[in-house]
Amino acid sequence: MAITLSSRLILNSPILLIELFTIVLLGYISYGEVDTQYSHFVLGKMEAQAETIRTSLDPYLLAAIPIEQFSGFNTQAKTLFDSDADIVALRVVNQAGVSVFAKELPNATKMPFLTLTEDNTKESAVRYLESDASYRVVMVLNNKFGLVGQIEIETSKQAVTRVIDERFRQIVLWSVVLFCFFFAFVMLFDFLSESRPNLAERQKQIFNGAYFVSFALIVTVMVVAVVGIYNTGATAKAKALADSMAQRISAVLELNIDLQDISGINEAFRNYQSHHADISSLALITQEHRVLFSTTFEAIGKPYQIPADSYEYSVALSSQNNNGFYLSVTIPVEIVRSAILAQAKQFMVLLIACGLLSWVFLEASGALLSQLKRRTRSTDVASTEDQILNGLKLIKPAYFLIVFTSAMPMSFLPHLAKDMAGVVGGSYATATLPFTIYYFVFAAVLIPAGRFAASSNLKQMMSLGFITELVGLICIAFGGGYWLLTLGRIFSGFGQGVFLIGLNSYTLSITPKEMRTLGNTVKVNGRNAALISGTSIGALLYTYMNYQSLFLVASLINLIGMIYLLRLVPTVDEVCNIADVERSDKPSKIEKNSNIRHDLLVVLRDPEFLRTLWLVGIMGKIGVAGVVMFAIPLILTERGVHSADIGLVLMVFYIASIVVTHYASVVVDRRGASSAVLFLSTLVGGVGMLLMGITGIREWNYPDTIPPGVSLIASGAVQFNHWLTSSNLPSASYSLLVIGIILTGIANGLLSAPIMTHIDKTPVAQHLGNKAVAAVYLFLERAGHMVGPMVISGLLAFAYNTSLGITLFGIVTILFGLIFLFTSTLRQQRQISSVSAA
Amino acid sequence: MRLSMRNLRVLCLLLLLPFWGIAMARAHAPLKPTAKPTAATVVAVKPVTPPVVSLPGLAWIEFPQVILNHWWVAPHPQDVHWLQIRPKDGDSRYHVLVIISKESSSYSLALNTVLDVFSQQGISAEFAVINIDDHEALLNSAITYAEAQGMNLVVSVGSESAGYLSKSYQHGKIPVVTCINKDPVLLGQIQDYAGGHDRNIAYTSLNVPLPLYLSYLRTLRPQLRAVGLMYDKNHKQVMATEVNPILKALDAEGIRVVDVAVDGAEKADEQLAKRIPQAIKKLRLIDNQLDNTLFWMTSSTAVFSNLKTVNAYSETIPVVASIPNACVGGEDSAVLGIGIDRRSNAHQAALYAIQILTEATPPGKFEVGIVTPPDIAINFSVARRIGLRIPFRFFENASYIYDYSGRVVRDAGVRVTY
Repeated sequence: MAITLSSRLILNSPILLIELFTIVLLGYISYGEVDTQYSHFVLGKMEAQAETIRTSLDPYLLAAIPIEQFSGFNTQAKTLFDSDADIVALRVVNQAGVSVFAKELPNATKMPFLTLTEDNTKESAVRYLESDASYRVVMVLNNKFGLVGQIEIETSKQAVTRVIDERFRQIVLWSVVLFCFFFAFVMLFDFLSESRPNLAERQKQIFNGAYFVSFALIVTVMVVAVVGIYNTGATAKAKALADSMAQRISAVLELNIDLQDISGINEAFRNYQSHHADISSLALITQEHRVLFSTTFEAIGKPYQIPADSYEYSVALSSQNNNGFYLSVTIPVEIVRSAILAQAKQFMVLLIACGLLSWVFLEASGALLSQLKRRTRSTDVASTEDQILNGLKLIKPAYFLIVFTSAMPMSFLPHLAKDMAGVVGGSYATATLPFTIYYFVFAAVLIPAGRFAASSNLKQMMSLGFITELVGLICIAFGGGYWLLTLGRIFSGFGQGVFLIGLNSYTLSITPKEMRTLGNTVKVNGRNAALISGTSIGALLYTYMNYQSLFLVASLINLIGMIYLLRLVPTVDEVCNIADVERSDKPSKIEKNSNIRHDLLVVLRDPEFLRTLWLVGIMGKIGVAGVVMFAIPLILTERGVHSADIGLVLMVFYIASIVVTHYASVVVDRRGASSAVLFLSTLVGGVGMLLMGITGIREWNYPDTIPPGVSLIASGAVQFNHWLTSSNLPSASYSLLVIGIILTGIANGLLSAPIMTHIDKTPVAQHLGNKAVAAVYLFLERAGHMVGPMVISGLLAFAYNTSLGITLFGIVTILFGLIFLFTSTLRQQRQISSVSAA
Repeated sequence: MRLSMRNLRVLCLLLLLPFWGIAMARAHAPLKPTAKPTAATVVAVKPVTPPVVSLPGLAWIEFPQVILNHWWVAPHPQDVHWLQIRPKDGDSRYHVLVIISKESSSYSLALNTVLDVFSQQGISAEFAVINIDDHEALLNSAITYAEAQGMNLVVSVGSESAGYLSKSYQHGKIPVVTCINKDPVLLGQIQDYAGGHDRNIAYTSLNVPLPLYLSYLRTLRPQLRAVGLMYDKNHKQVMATEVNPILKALDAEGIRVVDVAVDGAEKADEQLAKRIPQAIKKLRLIDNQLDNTLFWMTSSTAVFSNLKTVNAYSETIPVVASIPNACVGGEDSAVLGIGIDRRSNAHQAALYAIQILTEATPPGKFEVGIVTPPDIAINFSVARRIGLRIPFRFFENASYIYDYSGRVVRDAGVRVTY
């Protein structure tokens, strides 16, 4: 029986949906970034235009004449409106806030404005504002006696987005074409591979290749369009800057004063350049194209040449004797390049995030296809192993999606919780409640869920996880308050816990004893890929949408995950019937859970187990949950780091952790040096946290009520940061923070697998059995997750809400590691055995 | 005897009794009459006529039409030597006494500026103006009259009246604002420039702070080595507020000073003609090419009223005046005037006055009002003749510019076209 087109479509839907999702995501994030970057050009241009108006008003300001007597407004306004079609309003407002002169187009709106930034370092203080419909630049007017009013220029956002939209229409067109090609390719390949088994075997690699080629193509199209948009912005800004400076120089020529009788024009140019960092050169050029004055000394007196890699705009100077002078302003192409590079960073993050997404779903797509093809060919019987592998490949995307939605708000959730806690009169400690309660519910639900799993339909159970996670996300999306956020986190913790137990039982149920590692791999890989992908995509989206919209998107993805689970993931019976798995070796859930209590009492009598748990395991989890997941996003947000960069930092943490986990397991298995590796984990993690904490302490003016040693560390941190600032290393502080994060990620990688090996070697493990002790350990270890945010927020409060709290925790981690190293009996045993062997 | 709680209470009461008796006695003692009458009693006995002025009067004050459009100006009905100025539109809310030190065109300008600022800001006030012609007794009579009339503010115009008021009326009942006066700190009238003193006088100053002035000179002559200082050594206020501080400041900067001093206005022309060439000889010994040299003309009237002589003998050395008024049209002018224009200073005083009247700000709260940046006047005709290039910053900030033919092309900041 041949596969119908609709079946083929459904079976290839994961890869097609991922392609579509990637294109939409790239487009959305690019649009947001271009909008932000282009608005900087527009605001810079508007500032230069306000300067031009201020220059006209200068004589009145100089003479302390009321600005109401300014007679040139209409001429100035006409020139400005004629030269820039995007301007919708120009006003001169007096000290009392009354508009003395105004020219407004009908499309000028009266919406409330919010201040974006302020710059008080310039000759005239400037404020940049925006409403839903416009950008506004306000330039303060001062005369010798103080504030007299302000100039307001407004540009319609519609006009700004029109420039972007024009280019993005091309991107949409290309994206549609590209998707059609991809669609056709996938369907054609699928059709051809039916008759050519060698093609079918390479399907995953070929689809992966096609996906990355399409990704590269769409990114190329976007970069070309974006360069065009930035060019437009840079040229408009250069023009406005040239007009502004030209007006100042023209004031000399209009009085028929020879420029050679004026000194300091070169210095004035350089001063103007210093106030407008984007200007690469400014030159006054004669009719014979010789440079008369310039920001570059070497160019003076020589024939004018436009600097390489620059946007140039020149304007003729008005004068009484029409001497043909003109002023040229150039802006380096570099500013466009750096804007593109900022975007390239996002493309790279998306490439990794979407790559992981496609990796998970391509596997699922392949599994679905092979399943269906076997069904259609009665002669083709699947092997047991294939069926189990297909089952695991199909459950992985469901786990991926539920963790993905939970990871999406990771980069901003601590700050959101703090803000919301602030509204209800809370502090850092109150902000930790949603985190602590999440981990608490997550842990608390494990035992009852385990019992439930033994007697219920696992797909339904996992669906319950999706549903409660969905309720949790919706609570936050529609709530908007601290208590609903906390409630949402309770639901999320419940959902994640139930799903994890469901998944655990599912993989145990479908895999025979010798394939259990594969089941664990699904969990570890699915979770890590989802954390990396979810955190980074969530952080990128949060830059361009508010948290409620983001939680709605997460809810939608969660819903898709649930539908996927219900429609495409086979039940345990479906897999087992086909694969005929030997299920006799599976432990009884009830038996297992009732044993945990007994095992708990036994393991708590083993000093080595307790040492490992308290000195290394729980400390490591406090570090991850308290420092990396809670404190670092909070501190970075307060330092003004963008959500996208916080996501990147967390992504780096996960990647470092995953890579090191892989190698650490190999080393520990081969050499058996688990104590040393665990100590190394505390040392590296401690140093990482120490670094992260230190980079945030630039001053320390707090009363000496804390122990002298702590004050000493704070003073040392201040000195270190001063040295760092004076060393003029670019982004030194931020780089150190990233190094700290990487070290913490490495420490987490050194901890995850080796600690399980170490626990396996404890006397109690020999007595009770490895699995029982490992299960108890994993249960107790969650205490670190639960108390992590509370402990770290307590330390932050102790250190006057500075990052010194993190440094202190880093030091304690190292100390605990040293205690572990010197007291671990396993290490001593190993040494004794080494000596005996010698 | 055991010291019970009850005994302790009785003991405390007995100890407190004498203090209570003293307090009661004081509370019922008859009130002593105060030496100084209260404002209410003064108002009750206010004189009906102002003090008679038999001195020069105020006929020299000129009011341009723009002022007369807003103000009604007339001699006082009881004494023609007083001027009464009322707003044309409506009643006056405030009453201000203006004490002019003596006849001066600068003071006339200052009064007009004060009126202009009041009308711009819509402050409805009536002014009584008197010229004390440097007579302290007359100032005291005027003050008594103002107190009797319950006036709200006194504006002193000129250094002399500011000096008298600082001496005898610093804690007076009516708040005072000074205008067109030299630096009150350097004259010892007040301790420092910051506000927050307990005196009832808000000061302004015509002097540009020296560090700021020196930065302007350094912009003009970055390698400045020598200065020829022109002043009238008989002008006490100029000596106190300009010459002595300048000598000290230039010495600290390692800049050599050559005196070009005159003894009063009468012999100034003759002395300048003789002493400028002598000074140039000395200056050449310090700076042979005279490229890093300039003449600094203080605000001594005796000097800046002889601009023609100064120009005739100063060769190519730039003459920079402490007052913008010394830079005028034509050839007989300082090349640059950097200082506080009288109008700017009067504008500042008017703003202080308005704040005192409308917001009841205590005068002691104001810092000494110094207008910054200072006013600049440039004469390009002189600049071209002596080969001086004018800094672009000066050009942009200049309130007065005279072109190559000596015509004014920027007047009070506004471009003049012909």
